[in-house]
Amino acid sequence: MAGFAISFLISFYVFFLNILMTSLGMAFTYGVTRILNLAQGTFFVLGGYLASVFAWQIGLAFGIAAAAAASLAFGPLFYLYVKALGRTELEQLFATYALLLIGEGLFKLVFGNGNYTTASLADGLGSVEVLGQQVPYSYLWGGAVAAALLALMYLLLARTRAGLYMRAVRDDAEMASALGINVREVGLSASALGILITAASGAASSMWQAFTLGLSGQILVYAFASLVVGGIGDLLGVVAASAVISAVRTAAVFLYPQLELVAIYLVVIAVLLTRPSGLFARHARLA
Amino acid sequence: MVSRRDALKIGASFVVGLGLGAGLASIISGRPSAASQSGTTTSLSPPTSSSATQTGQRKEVFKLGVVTFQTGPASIFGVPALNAAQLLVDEINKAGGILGAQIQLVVRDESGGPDKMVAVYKELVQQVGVDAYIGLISSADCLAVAPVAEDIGTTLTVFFDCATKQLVDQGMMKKVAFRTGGTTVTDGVSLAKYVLEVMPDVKTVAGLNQDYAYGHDEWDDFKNALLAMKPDVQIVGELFTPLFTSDYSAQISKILDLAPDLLHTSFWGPDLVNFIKQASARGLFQKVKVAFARGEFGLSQGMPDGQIVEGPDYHAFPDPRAYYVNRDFVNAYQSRFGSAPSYPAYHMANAVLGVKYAIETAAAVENVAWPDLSAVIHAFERLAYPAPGQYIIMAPNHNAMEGAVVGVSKGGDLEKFKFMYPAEVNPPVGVPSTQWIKSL
Repeated sequence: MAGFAISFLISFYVFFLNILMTSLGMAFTYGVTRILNLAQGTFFVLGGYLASVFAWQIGLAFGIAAAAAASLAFGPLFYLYVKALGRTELEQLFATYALLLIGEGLFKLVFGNGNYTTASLADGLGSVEVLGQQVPYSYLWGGAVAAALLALMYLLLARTRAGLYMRAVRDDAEMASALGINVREVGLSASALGILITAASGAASSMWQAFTLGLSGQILVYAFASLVVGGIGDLLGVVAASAVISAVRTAAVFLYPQLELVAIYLVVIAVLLTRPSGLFARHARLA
Repeated sequence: MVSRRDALKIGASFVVGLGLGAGLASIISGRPSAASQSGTTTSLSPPTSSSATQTGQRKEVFKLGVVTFQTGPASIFGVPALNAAQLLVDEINKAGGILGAQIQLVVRDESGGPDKMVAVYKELVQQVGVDAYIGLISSADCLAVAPVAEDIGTTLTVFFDCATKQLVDQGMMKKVAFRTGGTTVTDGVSLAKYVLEVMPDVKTVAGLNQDYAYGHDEWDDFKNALLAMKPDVQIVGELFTPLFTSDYSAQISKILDLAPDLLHTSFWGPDLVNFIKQASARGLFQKVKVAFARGEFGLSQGMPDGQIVEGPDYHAFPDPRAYYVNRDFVNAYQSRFGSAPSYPAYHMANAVLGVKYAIETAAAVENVAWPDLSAVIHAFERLAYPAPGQYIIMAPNHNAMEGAVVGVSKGGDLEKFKFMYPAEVNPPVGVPSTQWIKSL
């Protein structure tokens, strides 16, 4: 029984980490800039590709950090691109979807069709044995990265002046602008940060996942599930939602594996029907 | 008033819209125009393709359509396959082409699904007018294109890789369609036979496969073959995961929990890599032996030692020191593309050489400068020819009797590998595969 519990817990934790990593940056970007980024996967995959390339030259930890740092440049560009092409959410969806397709083309051009991963390097980190089950350190380090990113976002939003501006812009951009906040600058820096978070998550995920062509679209499925359940743009909601989805999926695989995907969608549908603005929304947000 | 910013925005959306529109138009236009052309083929006048060259007349250019994945995760198979096609076409052209005709490749991407592949097929055959068509990795694509090819009936059509047994079991290749590779039956039976040789006492078996036709077929064929040859084997778990899952932690936990003697998987591409990496990190390979159907690709992706791997082809077989066809292929491929050819490259070689030898044989038999399609088909149906990976024997059901290489992984290579002879791992012509597997 203890063996069963521990193997359930390990797979619960790993999948939780996976979903959290794919949705954190997206939740942050939407939370501050109100841009629903369909190209989220592109930046996640970019992080993974870059980390895999860098890690072989400068080591795993530095490679992941370098990949995240390199992605900083793309954030402001992304913000300008989206704002130039669309004012309404629908236009922005088109613009970010176009970016997803463009990104796939560029990845093929630059990285070719191979599998990029740092898993072999991460193997060197070893693993710890818990009740007869091996738990690789790479997942624990991944968890540390996720926790650090969350802490960074929380401190920034709750404790700094920049965070105050971001929250003001999120709640009412027009009013914030009237009070002298440079909305454009806030948007630029928030996008830079959102994409940094996304790329850092992708880079850390390269420790257990291979990056390849076509992935940018695939990861959206789980990211969306967690955003819908958690309430779009709600950071803690996304954390809780990732846990809920992971628990449901893991239980499905253990008890009735045919229901793996269905179970996730059932959760999403149930949340949409009962609490359309997310499990943890305290009040309905104004549009 | 339109401000400068608005004008810029309108301009930018115009450009983006134009791009989207053009993209949509190119997708949509493939269908109606091709469909309207297919109507004309029912009339007696031959289509405008160069396959209408009069029998006996020498050809200058031989247009060869090649369709395989160039984008998306499956390009891991498509790119080596196209590499092999380019390599062989260059070599054939250097040596004088097919009966003096220089081969010209017309390449298309396989991405987009079965409907798109039907449109691409019609475009290649009816608009570009290719002399022969080689293509398709996805089974769904083959199943959609085969009836269309047979219906149009003007162009030699060779499926080089798709593994579905339906093409044979349902008798879908009777006229112009051929396949120069094996099926999931070939994979499953050869793997099961090898497993029983190296693990004669195997008791409990579980399966982990992708949740679509290919994954289910591979698992069923392996499971049924194993149960037919060793009825006391117990199947303790059957797991299927969605294609392109990036996290297998739950499945790995479940397998560790079931602790079977053997796990079967037919994962490919990123799924195979993710599974190998995540399962190694969790120590699965120390506790469970894994049999990989079509796992040759994993050898270069950190495949742990001591696992059972089926090719279907493997670059060290037949021994390049003894068999010059393979030696030349491996050397040329390695020097041009920087790595040993993987099995899709071998499958492509089967197809390209099959087309060449079928045409040359038909010309020799008919004693004409260029044979007509029916003579080529007649020759292809009973052709046997040397390909880099093995000797290919075509059967009257238009499918190759292909053998398979199975071995044990060691340091990214295969050791103790064995070639399963075609007749051992394919049903006899006319016998449905399920019935044959039961009789093993």
